[in-house]
Amino acid sequence: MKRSWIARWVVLVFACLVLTTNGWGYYFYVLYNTGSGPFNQPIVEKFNLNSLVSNTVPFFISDAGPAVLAPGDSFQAIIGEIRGAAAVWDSVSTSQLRLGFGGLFTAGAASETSPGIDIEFSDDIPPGLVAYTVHEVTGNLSYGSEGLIVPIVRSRIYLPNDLTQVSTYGDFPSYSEPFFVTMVHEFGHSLGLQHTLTSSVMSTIYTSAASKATPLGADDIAGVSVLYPADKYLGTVGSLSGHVMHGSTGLGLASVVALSITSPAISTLTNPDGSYRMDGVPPGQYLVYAHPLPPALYGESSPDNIIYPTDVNGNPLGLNYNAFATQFFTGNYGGTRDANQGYSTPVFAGELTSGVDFHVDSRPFQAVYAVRTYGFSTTNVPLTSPPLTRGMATPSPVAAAGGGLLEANNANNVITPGLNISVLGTAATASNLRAYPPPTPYIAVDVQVNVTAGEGPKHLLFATPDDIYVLPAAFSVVVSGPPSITSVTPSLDANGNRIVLIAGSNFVANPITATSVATTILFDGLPGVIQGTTKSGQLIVTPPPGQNGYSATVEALNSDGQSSLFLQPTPPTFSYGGGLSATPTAGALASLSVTPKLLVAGSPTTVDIVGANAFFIAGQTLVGFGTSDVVVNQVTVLSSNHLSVQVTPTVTVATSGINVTTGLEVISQAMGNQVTTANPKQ
Amino acid sequence: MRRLFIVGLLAALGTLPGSTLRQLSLDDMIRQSTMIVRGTVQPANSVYHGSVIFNHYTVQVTEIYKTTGQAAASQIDFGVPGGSLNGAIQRVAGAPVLSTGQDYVLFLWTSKTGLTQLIGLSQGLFSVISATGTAPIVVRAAAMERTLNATGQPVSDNDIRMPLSALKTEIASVLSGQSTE
Repeated sequence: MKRSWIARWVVLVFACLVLTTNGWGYYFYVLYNTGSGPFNQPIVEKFNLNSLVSNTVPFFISDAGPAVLAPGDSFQAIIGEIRGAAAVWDSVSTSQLRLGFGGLFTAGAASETSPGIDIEFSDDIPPGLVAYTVHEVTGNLSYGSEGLIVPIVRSRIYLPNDLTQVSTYGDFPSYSEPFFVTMVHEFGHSLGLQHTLTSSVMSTIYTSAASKATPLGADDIAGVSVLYPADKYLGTVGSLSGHVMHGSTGLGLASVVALSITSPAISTLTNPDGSYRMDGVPPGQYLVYAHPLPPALYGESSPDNIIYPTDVNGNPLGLNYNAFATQFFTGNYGGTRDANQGYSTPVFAGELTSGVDFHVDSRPFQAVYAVRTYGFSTTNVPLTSPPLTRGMATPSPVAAAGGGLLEANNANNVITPGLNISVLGTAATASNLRAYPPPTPYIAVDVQVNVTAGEGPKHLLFATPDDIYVLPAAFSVVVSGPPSITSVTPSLDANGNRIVLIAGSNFVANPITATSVATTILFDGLPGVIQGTTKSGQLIVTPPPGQNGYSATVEALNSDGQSSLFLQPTPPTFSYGGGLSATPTAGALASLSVTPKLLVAGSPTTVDIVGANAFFIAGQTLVGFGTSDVVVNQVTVLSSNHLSVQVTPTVTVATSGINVTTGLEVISQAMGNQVTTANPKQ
Repeated sequence: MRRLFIVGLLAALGTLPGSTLRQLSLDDMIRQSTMIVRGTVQPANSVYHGSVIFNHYTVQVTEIYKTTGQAAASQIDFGVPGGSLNGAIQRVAGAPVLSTGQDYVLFLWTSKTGLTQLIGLSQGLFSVISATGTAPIVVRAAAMERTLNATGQPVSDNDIRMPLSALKTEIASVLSGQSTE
């Protein structure tokens, strides 16, 4: 890459500009307060933090649950997995937006005035659709903490009511990779994020590389962090800006991507006049390239299913190009299709690197687009963006599907003439390009990972004689195989507390302490606490609380993106109780006694809750009233069966709709008892 | 052997984990739709179904290719999620916007609740393009804008672009249990 005098083409403008409102990283739901430009003041749709308590948007799950569950699944498990998916976004420390579980709600029971997210199960989801998110605004502008916004008043996520008849999958168990990743994706929409093309969780299925173990990519983190920046966040990251031009015409909705050989990609889309600004870029050196949005793929209503920005009159501002040749920034006018000639563009914390401009050549259509890669685990579980183990003597086959890889209108699966696939950087080499036999429209290459390759996502280049396509995170380099679980044994510690002994392989050590374990153990989507290891190497894990008799699936997740589901698509289970009497002991069924019976609008109230057969735990017990119009300010655990809750209702509601959640146990008073009376895993 | 296994498994899976939409094959859509019709559309009204606003359209039916249960009417109502009503604006990524007066082939699906929608959001929507002196063809509606102004060739392996007569033959074939796909 060129790193020389051409730096003078790059103008650095310092921190104050980073904090202006005319840019973003990622892509949001956008409107412009103009019809003709300039388009440098995009107004985005987002939750107004000023209208949230503690920057927390509550989410609620319909108490009806799905009518039909996948074999071995339970409503409690679904609740746990959905909470786990929400926790993914809640844990982004560079975003100040938090997500809080508000409990179960009864769909259609009330019209709420406070923002929130509802998750419902619907019979109205047609074949070909797994889930969707409805994003509701009023069209009124408000001043949020970062300037003018269109506030999201409600987001609703819809899942099928029958989880055994889901398109493609059939059974759609909550513990599965696709259920979890889909929920993380839909939560992203609910917060105000649109699709991108950089293999993140907010990418569409055509290029997503997300997994349950590492659902968020750098693009996702930048997106939510720029939308809801935590204090001082924007001073820790940098920005890029420039234009994508064809002649004197700025190209709107062109994708601009920053990536390095060793890190995942971050991207944004251009304004209607071709200008762009990408915020939230961690300091470093980046290859920056511009590429067109792919054509609307089968099943999409627009390219990448983007909801176009609108002008002041509500008119959509779509693409003003058909396609153009992908181009890497070189620091001068011409640009290049050769990634090795791309300029290593610096990004500094708190600074704007401007003048990263592209002057592209038009094309009638894209040569290659929307590629997804696949591999297989040793137990033949298909994996997208597959992990490839460093140090393997023989190369690993990586399959790919996508537009332009095979000759159009040729049923014999002939590779597009001139197509060449290579790895960006020196981490690996690709060879033996070949097509699978028809009718399956796949190609494959063999990828040999070098012994010195660093861990993490690696990018593939698909070159044709007159264009290039970049697939960020096409595969990842790992140093060991996925974790596996060979046994799950209930036990008690010396104090009579419930623990689980988990035997298996490829659990990873904490890189900082070296002696502790960094593998995460999930019980129906909620993490257990790893207390240590036995002499024989079993993990000693405290599971999340659950009532006796309940059975939870157990999975191991490693920080390299691999999970035990890669080897064991049907995970083992842990049965609470299991003949052992733990302390505290929870009954199989619990109920609540709540006073007062009514919460009056505008009156801060202390609610007293006594739970029969309950076990409340400080810091782990959550209380909700099934509506975002009752804000729970504080939960105090007075004893294992006694709570005191400070609430502020904005409407008058009965406390009969209360939910108390402790770990995997949800006691829903509205339903008269716990959310499930029978557990199909037993 | 390994290679054959891979091919078989990938074929069985179609597309793999990660997002909202799942690609239906043409045969899937033919089988899973409750009604397939050709006609022109007119916007009707916007209505709440539960908490979701649906933009409703009326199809003036000119041909019927599939019905289940009762006979298809000359006018059919269906909804597309998303829209504006009573000051609320709801957006659903992937929901198509239909053009008034455009000639379409629509693969429709009626839910247990009685709501009729397009299959797979925009997957079940095809534009019929008729030019003087040539037989009409069907094209995925979403691909029209960027397909037809290029070189006249499909830009995507995923595109469906075929003579209307071939689509009708395929529908009849699938429904009679003699699919060629």
